[in-house]
Amino acid sequence: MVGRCQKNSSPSLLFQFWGEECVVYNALSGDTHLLPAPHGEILQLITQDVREEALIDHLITGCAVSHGEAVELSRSLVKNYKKLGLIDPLWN
Amino acid sequence: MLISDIRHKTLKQQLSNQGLPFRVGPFNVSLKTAVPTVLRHIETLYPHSETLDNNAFIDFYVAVNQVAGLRHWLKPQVVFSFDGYKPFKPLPLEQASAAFEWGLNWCIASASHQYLIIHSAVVEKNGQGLILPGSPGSGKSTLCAALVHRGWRLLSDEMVLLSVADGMIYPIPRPVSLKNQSIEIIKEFAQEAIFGERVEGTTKGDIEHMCASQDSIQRLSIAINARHLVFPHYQSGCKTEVVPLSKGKAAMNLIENAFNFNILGAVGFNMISDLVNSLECYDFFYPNLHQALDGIELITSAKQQD
Repeated sequence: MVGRCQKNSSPSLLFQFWGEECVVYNALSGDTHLLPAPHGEILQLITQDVREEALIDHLITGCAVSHGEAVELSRSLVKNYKKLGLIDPLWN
Repeated sequence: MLISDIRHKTLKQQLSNQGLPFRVGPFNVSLKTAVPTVLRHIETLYPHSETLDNNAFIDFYVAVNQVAGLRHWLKPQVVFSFDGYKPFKPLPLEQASAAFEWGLNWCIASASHQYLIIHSAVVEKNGQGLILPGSPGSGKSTLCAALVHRGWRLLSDEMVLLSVADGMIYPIPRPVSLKNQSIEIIKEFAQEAIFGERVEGTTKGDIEHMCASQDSIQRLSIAINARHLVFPHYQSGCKTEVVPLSKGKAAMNLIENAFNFNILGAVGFNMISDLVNSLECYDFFYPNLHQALDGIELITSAKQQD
């Protein structure tokens, strides 16, 4: 399986997708993170500065969850990504 | 000229006076020492290495010298230095050869960022590279030593040199460091193997170095692509098991084992990604050396039939 290396609007983050996995490198911290691919896709969308509704739609489609679950998951992911320094703490 | 072509007396003089310049993988090293055990270590374990002209460019000027002063008489010690800098505390005199090997590892890992350097053994057969990273006790070096006595070419038992320029793996065949029980296992397995002197009581236990084959030294300019990544796990009494490893986990493990990943940053990340893209990755659990060898042959031959 050949992975997909994807660029994004955040120059400090590099993404590599392999099937159900995503490895993200944060050039600012030097940290590398292993994420489930849908969570990596959400992080990519956040770095593209999409609205929260787009994240929720993506989670409903990608993770086969209900709207309520998607809202909860989206907020939980954003909180975690802020904590890990992967996104701007002021992102909303 | 090879080190084995130099007479003992001349080698001793050169090492203790101007230093011996010789080739170690893609690096040129100049070693200066008057410590007899290091002289014997070089004679026994680097016989096939090419010596260099005195005007050759040298990557690493290193020395292993006895510590002067009262200690010299009471409890003799040696200290490793690189360009006059002493990165480590002195070690007992009996550990001088280990000080040279560990010191050279440190030099390469600290100052060779034209390579992404991954802590791992790497061997090759039929043009197919096999990377064997491993934590202490995993059996990496034992397995590596056994494989090179079963037709595999040694590139390194200690580090993968992945070139930033072309993504190829460059050989750095040096003596294989075996520890504790592994020493007797390999001596029994490969009776033709040449060993240096035993170094007892190091922080890693007892150590003996096994000479790299002449063939591996002669082919040190031939870089390879790797095809398999196998994380060996020796577990006494376990069932032999080959477990496919996801590429994401393999990449994370390689990053953890890379000495200079943080220095190379995004370049290093892209190199790891490209490397993992080209590899079949496995966790490999085995209870003894013979089953380990069978397992490795199975993993690598299965791929060659594809």
